[in-house]
Amino acid sequence: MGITNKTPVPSLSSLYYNEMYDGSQVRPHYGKVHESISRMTPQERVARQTKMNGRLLEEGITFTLSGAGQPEALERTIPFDLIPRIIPMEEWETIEQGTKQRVRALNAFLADIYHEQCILKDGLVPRRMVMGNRYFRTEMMRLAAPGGTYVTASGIDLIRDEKGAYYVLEDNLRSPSGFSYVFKSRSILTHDFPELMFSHPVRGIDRFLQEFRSSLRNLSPVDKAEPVVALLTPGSYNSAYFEHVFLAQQMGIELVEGRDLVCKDHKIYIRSLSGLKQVDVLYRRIDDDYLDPLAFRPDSVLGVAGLMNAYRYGNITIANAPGTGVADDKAIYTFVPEMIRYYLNERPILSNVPTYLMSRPDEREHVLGRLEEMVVKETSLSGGYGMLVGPASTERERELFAAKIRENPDNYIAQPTIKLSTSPINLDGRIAHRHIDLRVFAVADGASVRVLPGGLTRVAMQEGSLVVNSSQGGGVKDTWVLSR
Amino acid sequence: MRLEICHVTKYRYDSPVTDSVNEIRLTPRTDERQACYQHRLVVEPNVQLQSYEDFFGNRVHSFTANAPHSELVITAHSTVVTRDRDVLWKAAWGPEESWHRVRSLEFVDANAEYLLPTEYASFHSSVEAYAARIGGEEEGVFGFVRRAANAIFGDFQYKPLSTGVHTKAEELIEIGSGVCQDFAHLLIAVCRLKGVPARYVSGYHFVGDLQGRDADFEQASHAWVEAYVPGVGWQGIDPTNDNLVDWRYVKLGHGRDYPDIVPVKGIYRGTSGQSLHVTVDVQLAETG
Amino acid sequence: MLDRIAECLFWIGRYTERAENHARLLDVYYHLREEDGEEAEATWKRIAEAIGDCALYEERYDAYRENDVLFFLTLDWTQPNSILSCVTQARNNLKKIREQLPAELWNLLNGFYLWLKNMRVEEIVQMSPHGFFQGLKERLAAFQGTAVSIALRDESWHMLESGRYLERSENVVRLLQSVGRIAPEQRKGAFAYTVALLKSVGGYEAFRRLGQDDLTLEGVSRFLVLQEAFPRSAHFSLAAFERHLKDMRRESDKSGSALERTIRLAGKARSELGWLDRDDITLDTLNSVLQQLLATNRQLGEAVAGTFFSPGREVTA
Repeated sequence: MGITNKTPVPSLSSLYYNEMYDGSQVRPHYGKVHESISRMTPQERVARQTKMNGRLLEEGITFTLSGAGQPEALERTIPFDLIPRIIPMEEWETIEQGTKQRVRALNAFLADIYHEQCILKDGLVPRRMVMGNRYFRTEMMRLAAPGGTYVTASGIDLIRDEKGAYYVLEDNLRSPSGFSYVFKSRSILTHDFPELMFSHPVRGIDRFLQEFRSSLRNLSPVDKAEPVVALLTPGSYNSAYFEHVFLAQQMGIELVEGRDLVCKDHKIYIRSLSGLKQVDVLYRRIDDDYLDPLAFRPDSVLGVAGLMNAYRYGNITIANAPGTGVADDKAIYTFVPEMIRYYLNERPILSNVPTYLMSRPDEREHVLGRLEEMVVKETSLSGGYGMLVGPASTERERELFAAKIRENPDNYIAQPTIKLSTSPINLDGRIAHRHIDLRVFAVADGASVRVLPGGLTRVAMQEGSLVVNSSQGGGVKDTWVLSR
Repeated sequence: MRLEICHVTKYRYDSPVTDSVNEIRLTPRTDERQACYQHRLVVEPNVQLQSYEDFFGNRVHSFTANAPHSELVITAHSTVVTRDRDVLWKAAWGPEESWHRVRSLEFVDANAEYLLPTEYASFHSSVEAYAARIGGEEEGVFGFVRRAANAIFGDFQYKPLSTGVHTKAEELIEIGSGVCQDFAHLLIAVCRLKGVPARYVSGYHFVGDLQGRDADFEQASHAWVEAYVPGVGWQGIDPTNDNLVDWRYVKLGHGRDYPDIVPVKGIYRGTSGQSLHVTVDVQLAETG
Repeated sequence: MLDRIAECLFWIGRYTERAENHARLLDVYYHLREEDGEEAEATWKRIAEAIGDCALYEERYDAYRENDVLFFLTLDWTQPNSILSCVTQARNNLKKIREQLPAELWNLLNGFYLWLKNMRVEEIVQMSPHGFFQGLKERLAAFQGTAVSIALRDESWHMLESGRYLERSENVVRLLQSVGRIAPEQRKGAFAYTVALLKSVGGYEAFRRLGQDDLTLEGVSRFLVLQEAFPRSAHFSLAAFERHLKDMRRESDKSGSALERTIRLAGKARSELGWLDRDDITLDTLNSVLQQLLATNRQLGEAVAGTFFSPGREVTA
């Protein structure tokens, strides 16, 4: 009994790339998984899935929905699918090299705009797009970032077009999350589906935590044998708290909240019962705005006052550095291939999704002529007005939006409606096809960029939906990179 | 002219506080208009001061006072020599070429940070409407800026305590009165809406020798605006007094709006019961 | 260690211990019936009284019935002393500081919490309350055993354990008080209660092994207060509490004096018990001895809070 019997794949296959099927043929690297899943009865699939969901809940792999009051219904597990996503070795080679290249270029860009601003002076990127960006931090100007590393941890989101080619949809350079789901997905598949897991040469991921830890330690501003590294969390009510706990525990670093820290003579200390302990590297998981009430939002109680000055005087490293958001802005994104050529003198390995800058007259006219096919997004410049999804819009909405674009062209970019590949998932024992993407994680220090083999495959659980965010009901799959 | 400034900021707390972290911008700038000859900062309790120059070129001092204390006193003594107003506006370009200049893409790029709205100098619809009523573009960039300062001076009442440090440009329009900070934010917003780069300036205004001023209402601490005028460069203009900046003005620093250059700011742990007492004394030095 | 972490650890210790004590007590009380029979309602009321607040119960229910009482004591999360409340508190405290203890401990406690939260009272009755209480005890033992087996013996361990032992010493006192309150003329079933009491703390065999004969309230009270070899006695608990406090002494320089005072207080309480003669505990003096112990426990709790926990500072801009 094959799963193709139950799901009419062919109708989808022409429009979207299916990870498992090439027409009605199973792609070779999915052969064993296909066979295994097909052999199971729907009841067996349900049973297996139930067991996995139970483990997720028990291990508390949850994100918290806001809203206090009841102790119930606050913690949600992320939907986990038992069918893994498999990436063949050669494909991974491209992704890994492309991600490394991108992260190096983005770090070079940040180092440049916070110092010499050569790329602005040379006219490759308009200065106003950087200086007017709400994530640009004047406070970071001329400050030295240890190792020249602004972005330590990054998550690069990839999608695939109908031919299966990989494209970068966006770069997450501020405080990307999802590491813990990668490790927990792997742990669940290893423990609850070992026969499937061990029948494939899957590359291990545990080493990445060690590399992440080393990267953080290497960024210490002073040469210490045992630098103190701490993860700054907004606290246990934060939706990603589980991930903060996971990373702190697995890397053996301190987990602290802003109230646990104090600034004394421009150094940051943990206020412990046995006295003050100086922090050398702060891996922060809170936004720039909340980091330091003295430098940024004065009403923030999540950060620690004086942190920016401690950083300025070289007494602590903040990872990721403040102000990295300017490089993952939607308008700046369009310049990343240019950055790769400009800073690295290399040909970009991974392509961007075609993106039109509304500040360029010819691109603007091109887009305004076919707004019904476009997705228009706002950039991080001050004062945007939301987004427009062309195919789902009315003529009136498009007219209004066209006027806004003409009025403030810098505030918008446009992309053709994006394509996401599809993958089979187990839906109550039945096999269904859903859209997926891939967040590739990298860690960088001054010396190198390391990429986690695999990453987070996110699934849009609603039929036909392209929304994969976990906050909007997206699920995850374990992601396998084959070693041969 | 040579001016002696003594600026004392005194915080008193109801019960001792700890871990006070502070940043101050009380050092007069040295530029083509003024020179700071002497500057001395004294902080009680005794602290370790560190200093740096921020993105805008302002001198910043930072310190922490971690041990319990019931009082924090920051005293800044400065001696500054200022020049009188230069008759510079004759150098300002004519209407057509000055507007052409500020609207060129190259110019917009080079001055982007002083052209975008901020939280305080916002492009609220009421601010836009106000800016549209001013007119005077036909007189060129410099003429427009003067007209705008004059309009704000005439349309709003200077009234101490009518607004707070968090008042935004549109709130001045709504309330109808405000202090120098509000006048400055509105003028900045109006200039930027017309494409004229403008920045917020904090400093001191020496009025001690003037007749008929109400000493109770007259704070020597002051805020005004610098607008970019093609041919002239950054020109100081004071919408609160409808003046161009002259030897009576001592500049501490500039930024995009008030939050960039708060003269004294700090955060501490402890009681919310505190009283703040500020005295600013500006004297003309005996010998120039 | 941070003060908020110390606080969480201490309460994890206390709440897991409290849940265990409740489970033990309910198991024994549930299976204890007056020899000459009593009204069903009186039985359930007696059980409700063991750990619950009867006024709160009566506000909510018009009569004492088996299912309502069981629910009230075990699964009612709005009742602060129910077993579910204790487990929830322990679990929520651990959730805030998960990185401090091995992940296995979190998985155990969270799994336990989820199991208990989804339990319905009908299921308890169906699977037999004894089986249910047994299940509770085993899960708590798994948590405790895993902690003993793998937790790092650093200050967090001592904080956790000092919470556990302070709670245990307080529970012994409350247990004895609940039986001591029965008026003499009503003590028809006193023997049954006394045995039940001893069994609830798992001390019946130990009592026998030590060759104790005196199976009276007096004798059992002496055993549970003074017997330093029995791990659930007040004496043993306070000694363990003191030892864990002392083990935290090394690095605490600044808070040293406060910690020293707490240690001296614990040492004083422990040695006072050591000096007590068996004849010092009689039916007449029992009440005041217990009162005294309860006051000491409260004092120790406050001393720990004062030494380790955050005094609730505020931050002002």
